[in-house]
Amino acid sequence: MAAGIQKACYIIFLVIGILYLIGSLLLPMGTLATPKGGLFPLIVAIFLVAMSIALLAGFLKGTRGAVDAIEAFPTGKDRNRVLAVASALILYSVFLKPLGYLLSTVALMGVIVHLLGLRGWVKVALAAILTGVLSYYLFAFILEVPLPRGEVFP
Amino acid sequence: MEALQGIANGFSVALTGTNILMCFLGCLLGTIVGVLPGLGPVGAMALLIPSTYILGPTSAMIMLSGIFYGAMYGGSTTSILLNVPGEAASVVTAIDGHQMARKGRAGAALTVAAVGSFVAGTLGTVALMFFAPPLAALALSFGPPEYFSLALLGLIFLSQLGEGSPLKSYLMAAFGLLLGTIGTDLMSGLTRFTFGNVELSQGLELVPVAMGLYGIGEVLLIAERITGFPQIIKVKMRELFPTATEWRRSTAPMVRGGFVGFIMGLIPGPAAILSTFLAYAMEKRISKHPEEFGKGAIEGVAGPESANNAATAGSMVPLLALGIPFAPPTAMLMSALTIHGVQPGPLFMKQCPDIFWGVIASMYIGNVVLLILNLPLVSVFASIMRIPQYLLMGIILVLCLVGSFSINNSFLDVYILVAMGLVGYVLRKLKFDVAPLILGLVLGPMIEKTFRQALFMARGDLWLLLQRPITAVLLTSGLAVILFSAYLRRRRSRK
Repeated sequence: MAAGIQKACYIIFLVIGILYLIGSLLLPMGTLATPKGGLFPLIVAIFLVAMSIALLAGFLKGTRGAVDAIEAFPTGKDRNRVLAVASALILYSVFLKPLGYLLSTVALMGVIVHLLGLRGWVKVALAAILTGVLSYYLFAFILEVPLPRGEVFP
Repeated sequence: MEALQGIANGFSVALTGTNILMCFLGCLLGTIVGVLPGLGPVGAMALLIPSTYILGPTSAMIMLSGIFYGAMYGGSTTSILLNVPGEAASVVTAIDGHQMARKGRAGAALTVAAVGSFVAGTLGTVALMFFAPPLAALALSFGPPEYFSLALLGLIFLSQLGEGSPLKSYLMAAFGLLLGTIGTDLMSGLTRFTFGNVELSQGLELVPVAMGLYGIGEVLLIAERITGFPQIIKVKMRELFPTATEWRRSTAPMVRGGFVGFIMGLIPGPAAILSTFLAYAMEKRISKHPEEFGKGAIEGVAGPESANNAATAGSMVPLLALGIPFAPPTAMLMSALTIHGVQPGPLFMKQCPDIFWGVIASMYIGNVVLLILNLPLVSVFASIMRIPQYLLMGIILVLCLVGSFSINNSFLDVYILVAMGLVGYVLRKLKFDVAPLILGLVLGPMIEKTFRQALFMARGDLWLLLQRPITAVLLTSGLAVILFSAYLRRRRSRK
């Protein structure tokens, strides 16, 4: 599976490079004597595409450097745990604005501490509420960092 | 004389209550970060930059620098006691340090590592004090072509000499440069790659990108497997004293390591890590007992541990004198300066003497603080490894999320943080070195600006640029490193 992800990764960088190349061609280029905002992105895009092609070609040929000893991706329960943490983070970033810092952080912490090994719902709830409330108090009141208060319960 | 006057002024700045406290805090946090495998000084600095808003730029720099060099001290603790390097720069220390611990000499190894770090860190700071001002004076004669070639060289060296495949590192550097072009082109006011998003027109912030790659990426890696508490070798106070023979055998390696480390720090690239390998190889080569290396040779602890500390001082030279970071930790320092409205560069020493000399003076104080912290409290620091992972990761997540949001009070930065966290996790699994990405993002705008200014100056004639001696030497060095590395790789693969 890891080899497939490696290949997919090179392809994604190639696609990003091509899209970026097209985007840079749409910008004013100027001349070498009077370079404009598109010249540097164009050079970077060419470099990015060249590196992606070199790695992809190396991967297909089995060259060292492109096909490295990579870390195996987790499977089974371990993979599910990583996916759950990643999903929790994505959901947090989506709900931070409507729910505000306090509610979303308490919810996120509950999920994270449970996923990372804390057992027992009372302990999980206590850890989540304490982390959320204490961090809110520390940042919002002591360090005076303006944290989002939410749109649902402003 | 100028340096002595400057450092006297620096001590008057560094010895104020707030700055002593910040220095202590930075060293303490640095040691903790060094002890804990994973996060590293870059992640920790990214986490704490937002909390420095309430401080002045001098105090902020003193604290963040303390994290940088403090991490080098802490990294040796878990390398020796657990065979788990807290820092990449302490990997080499684990080879002989842990063997010494297994033979009951953990205390001696820890003391030699701490004293070596102190000696080399102090020597490095002395050298920094005398090197940086003349280099800054020389840099006043640099024009855009010199700055362009220097910044490009930094990126080439880091990609070429970093971890893993150089091709992958160049891909990361290119991706970092790409991210650096997002936002408003400062020379023409043109907005690029923002897709109409007003917030993106200010460009990507380094902090959420670095926090995502290092902080969130680390949380996801930890989530892969929940581990129990490690077995830590206990060290008693009386065991901390090396024997007379151990002192004698480690004195010269400390000085040699300090010298190698400082020189390596001046060169672009992952100086702290490379200097440890170089110091280890050098000690092994000149030792009368090379067969002891790998089995608990004290020189194998003293040399590398001294080298990585001196390298941190060395790597501060290009940042403070030229305003160019050659590695991610100094890129974070530069980002912190910029956030505080200070522009590093050759005039930095003249325009901001309090910050320049205050930071250097604080490094002397910090090295003493670290020696005092690290020796008697070594067991306390090692026991940090016993903090439950769910708690530690929860705290890291909260710091990442609040830190990213608080830079611009922007939800976009939180989205970037989470996205870069997921990207960072996959990249680290696929053995991509993310350091060139960070440096590309930081140096990108400068490389572009100086490149375009250089082209203006030369009226588009690239040959004219190469006729400037410093530019020619720097660009030729970059090309030579690429060709030589390719030659070595080809020779190795033929064997």
